[in-house]
Amino acid sequence: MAESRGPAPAGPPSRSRLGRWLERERVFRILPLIPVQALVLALLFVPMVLTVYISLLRWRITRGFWTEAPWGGVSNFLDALTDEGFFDAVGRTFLFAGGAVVLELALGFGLALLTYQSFRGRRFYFTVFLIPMMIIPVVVGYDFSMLLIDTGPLNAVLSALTGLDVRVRWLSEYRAAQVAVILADVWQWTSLTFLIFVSGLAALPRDPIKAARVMGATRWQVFRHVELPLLKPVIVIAVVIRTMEALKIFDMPMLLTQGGPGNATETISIYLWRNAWIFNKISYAAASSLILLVVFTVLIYLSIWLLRRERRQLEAETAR
Amino acid sequence: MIRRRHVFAIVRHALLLAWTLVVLFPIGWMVMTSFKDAGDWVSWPARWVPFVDFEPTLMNYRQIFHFGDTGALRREQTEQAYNIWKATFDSVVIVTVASVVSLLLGSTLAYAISRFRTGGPNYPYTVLTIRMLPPIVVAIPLLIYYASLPEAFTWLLGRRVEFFDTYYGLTLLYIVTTLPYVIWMMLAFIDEVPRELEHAARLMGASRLATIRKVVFPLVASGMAVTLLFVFILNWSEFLLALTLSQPKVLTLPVLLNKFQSAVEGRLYGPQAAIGTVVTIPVVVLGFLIQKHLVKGFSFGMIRR
Amino acid sequence: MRNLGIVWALVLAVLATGVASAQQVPGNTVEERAVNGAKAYLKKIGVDRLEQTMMMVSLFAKAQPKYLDEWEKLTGIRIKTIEYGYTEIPAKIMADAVAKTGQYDIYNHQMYMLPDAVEAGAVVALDDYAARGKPYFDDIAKTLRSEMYYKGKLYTFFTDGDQTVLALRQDLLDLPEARKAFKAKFGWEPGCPDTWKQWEELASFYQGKKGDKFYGMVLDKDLYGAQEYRAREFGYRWWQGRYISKGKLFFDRNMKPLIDGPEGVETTKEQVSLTKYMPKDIFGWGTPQNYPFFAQGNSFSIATFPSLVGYSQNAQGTVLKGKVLSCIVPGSMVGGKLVRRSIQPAGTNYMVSKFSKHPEAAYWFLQWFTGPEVGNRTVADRDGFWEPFRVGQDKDKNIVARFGEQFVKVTLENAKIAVPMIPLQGNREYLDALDVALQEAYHGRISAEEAMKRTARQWEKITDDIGRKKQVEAWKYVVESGAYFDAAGY
Repeated sequence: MAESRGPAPAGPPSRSRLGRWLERERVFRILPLIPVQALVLALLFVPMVLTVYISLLRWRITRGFWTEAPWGGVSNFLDALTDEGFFDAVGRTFLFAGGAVVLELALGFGLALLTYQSFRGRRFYFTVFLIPMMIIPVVVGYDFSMLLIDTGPLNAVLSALTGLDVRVRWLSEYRAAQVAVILADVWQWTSLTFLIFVSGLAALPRDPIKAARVMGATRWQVFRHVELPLLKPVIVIAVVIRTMEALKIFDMPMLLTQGGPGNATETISIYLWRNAWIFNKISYAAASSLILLVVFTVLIYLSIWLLRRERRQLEAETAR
Repeated sequence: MIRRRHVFAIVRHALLLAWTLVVLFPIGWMVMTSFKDAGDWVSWPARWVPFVDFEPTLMNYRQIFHFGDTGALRREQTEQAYNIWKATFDSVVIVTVASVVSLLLGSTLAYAISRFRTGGPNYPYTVLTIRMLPPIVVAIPLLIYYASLPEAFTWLLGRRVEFFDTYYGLTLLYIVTTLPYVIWMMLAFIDEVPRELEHAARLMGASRLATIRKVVFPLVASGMAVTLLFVFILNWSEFLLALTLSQPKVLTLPVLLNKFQSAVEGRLYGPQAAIGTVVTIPVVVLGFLIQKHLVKGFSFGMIRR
Repeated sequence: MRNLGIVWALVLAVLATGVASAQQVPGNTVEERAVNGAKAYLKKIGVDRLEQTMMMVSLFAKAQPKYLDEWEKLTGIRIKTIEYGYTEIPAKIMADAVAKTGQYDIYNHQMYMLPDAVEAGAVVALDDYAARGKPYFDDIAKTLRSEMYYKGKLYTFFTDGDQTVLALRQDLLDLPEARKAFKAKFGWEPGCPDTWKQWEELASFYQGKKGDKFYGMVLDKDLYGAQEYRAREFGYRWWQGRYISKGKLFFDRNMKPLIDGPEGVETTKEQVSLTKYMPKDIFGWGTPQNYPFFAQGNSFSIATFPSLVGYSQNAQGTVLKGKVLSCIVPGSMVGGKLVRRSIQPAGTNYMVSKFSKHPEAAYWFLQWFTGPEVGNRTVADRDGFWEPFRVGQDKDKNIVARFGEQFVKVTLENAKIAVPMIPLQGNREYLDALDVALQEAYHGRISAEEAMKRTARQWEKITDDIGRKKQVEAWKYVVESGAYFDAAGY
């Protein structure tokens, strides 16, 4: 899009010096950037550099101050890359994110489809469905830890529904705990995918749809060939946002299972936290997190590239 | 035809009601537990109906709000810990300030990016990378950084400025970590505002600031509301950085909630449920108020009618 | 000139005696000396009030304040507490070591925290103060006492006897027909077992399903033969006691792990075997689950923290009042002799922060609070979680009233044979490696041998990472202090 190149402003005659200075495009363009960049540099850049430096030392908190720790070079990175625990945590987290996000997308989309058109009671459902994402993940973790105990309400409900005596040990059995974390995550974040999809559906341009109906397409055909492709960017957004957050997840599993039983629900963040805070292996944690940062960045740029492509496609299509 | 529509409506309502139950069940349970006495927290079979299965009590709320004698968990000398007043105050102050400042800074920058390509075409995407980091990655370097900053300040300004366990220390971090989302979202909203409108205003002699105030702002107001809510929720829920970089002078609600565990009694479900309930209310209310704008807001620039 | 020399000598002599007498703090009891020491310190710095801060485990929130009030009345030093959950405190102490805020004067946590805290430079050695204040430890078991030291220096005081105990159901033992049948089957009179094998025999016998006829009574619910912690963060504690009872150390003098030997494998096998008599949920249970389960009469025996016994007598919903028999922890036969070993799996630890502005004042509080007289009061305190450990506490009326005479006698016996968990830097890491391997073994996913091999491998890595020389040196102090009696392998 072209730069804003309007004619020089005539402006009302009485103008303060500050006002005139602000009018200049160069100033207006750069000024907002300064505080943001300053904050980012001051608060994030330096710690990042520090993280890189620490990852090259062999520092444990119990080894004196970080300025005295011996040099380690790439040894921490090699340790991370040869550590089973690290790979297990990464694999686990990706599996978890995959499972949870797929479910959230499917449920969110389904619910959005059912509610995006007006009908009686829509407002009520809408309000209710949005609540879970507004609840603090820490609260969700704690809440579900209460619901999922062996003698808890979930097992009670399942027993009532199935007529059997259901006593799934959600929090103390390996696989069940993993399912529990996914359940809690899906419960909370379907809310967000629902919102995204509803917005997307509501914003669909009417003309192509009307045109297709006029030309005799069935509901299903309209959906599949007109609406769905137009929704692709929205779907991509939902996937990117949710996957990003799911891979970083910490609060909820921490409160729910503390990474247990054993390592069953130890996500990447919990693994890093454990190494940094319980074992005091700061350098190792720094190195493994840098490795993860690289992985994440690659993923993110991939998805951003996807996003931009979608956006460009959408713009191209609607311009037509 | 009519019959089909009716069937469809019934099926729709059935499915939606099912999910409504799924949504409300954990919340309802938490609220009920907040009114239960210790013996009823975890019992088999579960105690469902107030006044029938169990005797509701305000004990948990009394305990967290320190009204009157709270029995087993009364505190005297200890300075803090289970004090929800302080935690609420701290959370409200820090989160509100951080969210508002982040919104303002991010929106102005988003405007500049939208109209002037500030920072280059890749800037919005690089700034999003900030959000990609698991916070655990920077938590300890931040700790070290915050611990060393006072020395730097003393050397530079002759005054010792503390960052660790301070209000502004945490607030500044919250601002920085939410800026990417603000920029991204506001960029989408601002991009939707046609430049022609602004050009017209400028041609008629309005200054840049006036243009923004009178032309752009009203059109992105819903977008700003949505962004504010989103960012507020993020900051309100933030746990890890607060856990690492605060206490005891600063105590936010998520950190407080985490404290209600003990080796002997395990999870103190009642008080935790009470706090959980109290903590959720403001956000839900805020969400309810902004509901109208939410749908529009989340279109991310897809609205092209 | 000569006169000057004499004057000098006189001056020095006077100074020497003056200084020497200033060293010793007056007082007839440990507590008196502590109070006098504190008051003298305040005078020295020229104030009559002082405020200090303690980072405290939230468990003690109800019990601690009264002692702090008393201390304030006695000395004018007001200690305010800031509570954290016991899972948060290690991270907070480490954070303090990095941030050096000077905000806390005293750290309160569990004994195993000591090595890491010392190595992180977060705590102060107390030998100098102790030389002046003369606290009294001789009535504390040698092995427990060793936990107060690290590399030969004193850092903390022992104040809580968490040594594990084995509790049995007296009411089931009393069933006459069961007694006869057991004796006929196993050849010894059922009661407190001497060996781990005997405990397993008891567990295999005293169990049944709901509705079963059990030697003259009908079980109204499932009865499990045993309970022992099997959850993450817990199982490995009882493993260590059992292992040491087989007469081997954890490491040899070069810090090479010895646990992958036959003793270690046998320990793991025994624990795995016993698990079949435990409820399936045991893998997820901490204290909040284990205690009520036992107190509601669901199991025959439990190897546990000592506070269970009191819990089973007084907690709401218990059906075992007067029905619990406390036992000395069983052992193994080593070279024809019975070697019993208990483990000190937690305990309470008070350390003085290196960043405190007045470490001496903090020290005096520790000496006072853990002294024999105040110590007895804290143990007897029903709001507290401190347990008996000093010789002679079975004569204290209040302590016996709170815990019951049989238990107190038994736990003091257990104190004599209690060994510390690995008291080295990085112990969380060593124990976590053991924990992970044990969990795999408990669930039957890997064999006992494999679990021990893996742990040993991990331990070698950890030692190398921390610095073998450092660990060898620290381990030398540990073994020479007698913390592990005469376990072999050094």
